[in-house]
Amino acid sequence: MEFLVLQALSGLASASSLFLVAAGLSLIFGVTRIVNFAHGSLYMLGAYLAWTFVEHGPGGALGFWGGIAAAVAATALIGAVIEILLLRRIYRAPELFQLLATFGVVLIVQDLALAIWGPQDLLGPRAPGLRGPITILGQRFPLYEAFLILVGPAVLALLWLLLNRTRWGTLVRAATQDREMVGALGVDHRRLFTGVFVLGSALAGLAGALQLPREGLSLHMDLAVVTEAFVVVVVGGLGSVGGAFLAAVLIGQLHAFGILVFPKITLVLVFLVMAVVLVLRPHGLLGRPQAEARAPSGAGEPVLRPATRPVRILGTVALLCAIALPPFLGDYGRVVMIDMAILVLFAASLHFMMGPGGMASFGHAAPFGIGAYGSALALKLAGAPMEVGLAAAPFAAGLAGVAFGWFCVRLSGVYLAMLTLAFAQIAWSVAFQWVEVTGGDNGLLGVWPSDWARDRLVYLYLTLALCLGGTLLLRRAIFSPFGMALRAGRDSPLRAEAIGIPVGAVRWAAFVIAAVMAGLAGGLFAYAKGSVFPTYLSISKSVDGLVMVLLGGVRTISGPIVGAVAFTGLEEQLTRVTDLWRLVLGLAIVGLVLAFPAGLAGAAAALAERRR
Amino acid sequence: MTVLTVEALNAHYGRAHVLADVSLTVAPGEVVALLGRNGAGKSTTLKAIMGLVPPTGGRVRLDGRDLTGRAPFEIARAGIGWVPEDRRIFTDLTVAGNLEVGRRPPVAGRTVWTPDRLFAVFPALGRLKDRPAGRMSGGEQQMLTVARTLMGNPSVLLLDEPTEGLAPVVVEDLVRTIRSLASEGLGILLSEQTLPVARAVAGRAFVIETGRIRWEGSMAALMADDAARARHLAV
Repeated sequence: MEFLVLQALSGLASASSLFLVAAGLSLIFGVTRIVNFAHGSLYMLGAYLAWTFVEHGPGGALGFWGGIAAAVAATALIGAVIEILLLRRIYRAPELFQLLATFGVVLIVQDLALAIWGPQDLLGPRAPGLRGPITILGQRFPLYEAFLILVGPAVLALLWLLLNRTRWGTLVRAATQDREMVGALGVDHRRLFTGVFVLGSALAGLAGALQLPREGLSLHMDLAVVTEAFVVVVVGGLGSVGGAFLAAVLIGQLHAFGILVFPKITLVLVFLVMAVVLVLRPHGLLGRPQAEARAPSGAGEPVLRPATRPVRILGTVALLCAIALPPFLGDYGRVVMIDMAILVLFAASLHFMMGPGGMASFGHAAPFGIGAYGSALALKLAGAPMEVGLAAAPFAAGLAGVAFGWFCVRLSGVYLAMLTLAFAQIAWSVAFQWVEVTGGDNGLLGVWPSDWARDRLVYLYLTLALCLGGTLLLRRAIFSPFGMALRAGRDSPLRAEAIGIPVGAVRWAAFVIAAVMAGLAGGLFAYAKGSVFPTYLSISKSVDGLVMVLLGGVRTISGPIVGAVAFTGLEEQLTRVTDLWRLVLGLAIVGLVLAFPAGLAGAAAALAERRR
Repeated sequence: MTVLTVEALNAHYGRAHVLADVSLTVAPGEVVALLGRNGAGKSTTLKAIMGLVPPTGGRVRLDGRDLTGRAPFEIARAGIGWVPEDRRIFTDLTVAGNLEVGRRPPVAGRTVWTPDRLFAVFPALGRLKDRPAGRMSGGEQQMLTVARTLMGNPSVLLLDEPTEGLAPVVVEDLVRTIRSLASEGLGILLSEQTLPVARAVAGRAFVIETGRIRWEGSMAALMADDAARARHLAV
């Protein structure tokens, strides 16, 4: 009994920091409608800055608490810089493009933190005055943890007062509901947005700084915490601070007790709860149906048209080059081309559901990785050769698509994206934790092609044939009656239903088709590398896909292809030239977003339009 | 003397030309009706004046000051108040909270509105001060959206189909309110689909069809011109 109480208390302590991060994320999303991937980076910066100020503050004058305060202030300042220099310029860009920009910030911060603080984990000092344990029910409990338990409700109370008892808070709540109307009433939304972003950054910085006495600081803190915070925000209801608190407590307890009851599947458990909550309450525990972020009125999605003559000729030339080039390439060049072809299909499949389908996925690594594991397990469990394995990959991914899709297509927008992320994390956890079957972190090795395809050149042509075939098939589907129905359902679900299109079923089918194609890409990837690892299912893989599609432009068909080639090429070149490739890539992404808010292919199309 | 001058205003949705050379004026204390069928461009005209739809040509002037191309919040601060067709009440806030969002500092030479003054004009709002705005009737919400915009102390009010969907009794109230606001010197541009309300409050009228002004003149002249009414307004 006493033990359980202590376990619950330590769950509450974790919940506090989770709440601080999630509350900021939720506020920022509520007002600016930006899904801020960089929120975890601000948390990480808060922690590292606190370490620097506390350990190496000017003459040690700051002390522990002074160092924490300085770190919070510095993080808030960094937030202001990010908002003013970057986000303010792209509030009118499509939602997903803003996401891409914040991911660029994640990459930049990762490399800067690496350059400043080095790769080794850092340990902070204990908090003066809060050292040692207290005794609760005859058990020892760290005093600092008890302090953290109080921080959560205290911050919740302060936020409540700020939002409900000040003019600024009233404006924030009004803007969360309808920011265009707030602007039309004479409120300078830019200052409001900056203020909210600074507040959110300060909260993230505080959460990070308070971790200092608790755990080692590492460069992986950012994505780890932002994923958890996304879960909390979505479970609690986007834009709801109270919901974030409730969800943080729930998730904190789930961690604390899950580890006792199901030590093997704690990771799955969290995302499973999120999936259940979203299916039962699509807007989270305390969330409300989100009024569409009222974008300044204007044109909707542009009409997709079959490629124009010049584009067609350009595409054919590129295709012929791709077919003619391999014999003249070295081994390295062939490996890069195989990767490119696979990622083109991966990106095209993600684009299929995001563009024409209007379903943004943050977890497209799931079908990709499940395809790869499908091939590998077909080999390991049934001794199946490559030919069978390559069929097993899309089949396994398709099955997963049927199951995940059934849940996902009920939701839309950010909630849908979050649910796909949840499923991808579940798949990742299974691959990571079910060591007996999947080999866990060590992966599955020895997944090689059949003898006839073992030569790199032959395998390259096989990959080219399947990936180009798959990509062209997807393109064909976009212009088929099915694709028309899908686009109709995206643009106006109600009207599409009214003319007899079963929108839900069409979306589900599109989800499955995208999964099948991603699975095929995953299977090809497995045989190309000869091995399968949980990283194939990781968030960063999903994000790679998003970057490719968004970089190329989600509103065009050639976009994902251009994006995939550009992204692979860029990453490949950068890793060879510099250690700071994430920094350069991040800067490139941010620069591209600022320069071409419609993506590379979108910019080219706009240019062609202007010439006409 | 005019307070609001709109000259040859143009606007596009993508490639669609939705406003073509719309020109109109409003004088202080005057109610001007902007009439037209559903989809004729009434709301777009008001939104383009407000900067919510970026104008692609033409000028908007308030008291001679050029506001074209400014952000909506700047246009609101300059003194143009917009009351949207779909009301867009902040349902999570109380009535008092909604008014607070609209509050701007007083400007010399313009009527200064306070919640108490507004409660005198709209007594129902005073009684519901602390009620969440989402839990009010349509008529009460319409009063609130007008009151909220007045909190910005505008010199011109753009009213977008304020009587749509309201009970006849409430419409009568609103007509009285519009008259009394105008009598305090406020210029009002009122968009309406039907004639009765416009006829009751407006002195002049502009008739818009497919984004162009097709007819303009006094309200009395419009009521006398059966042919024009039949051509541009009859459904």
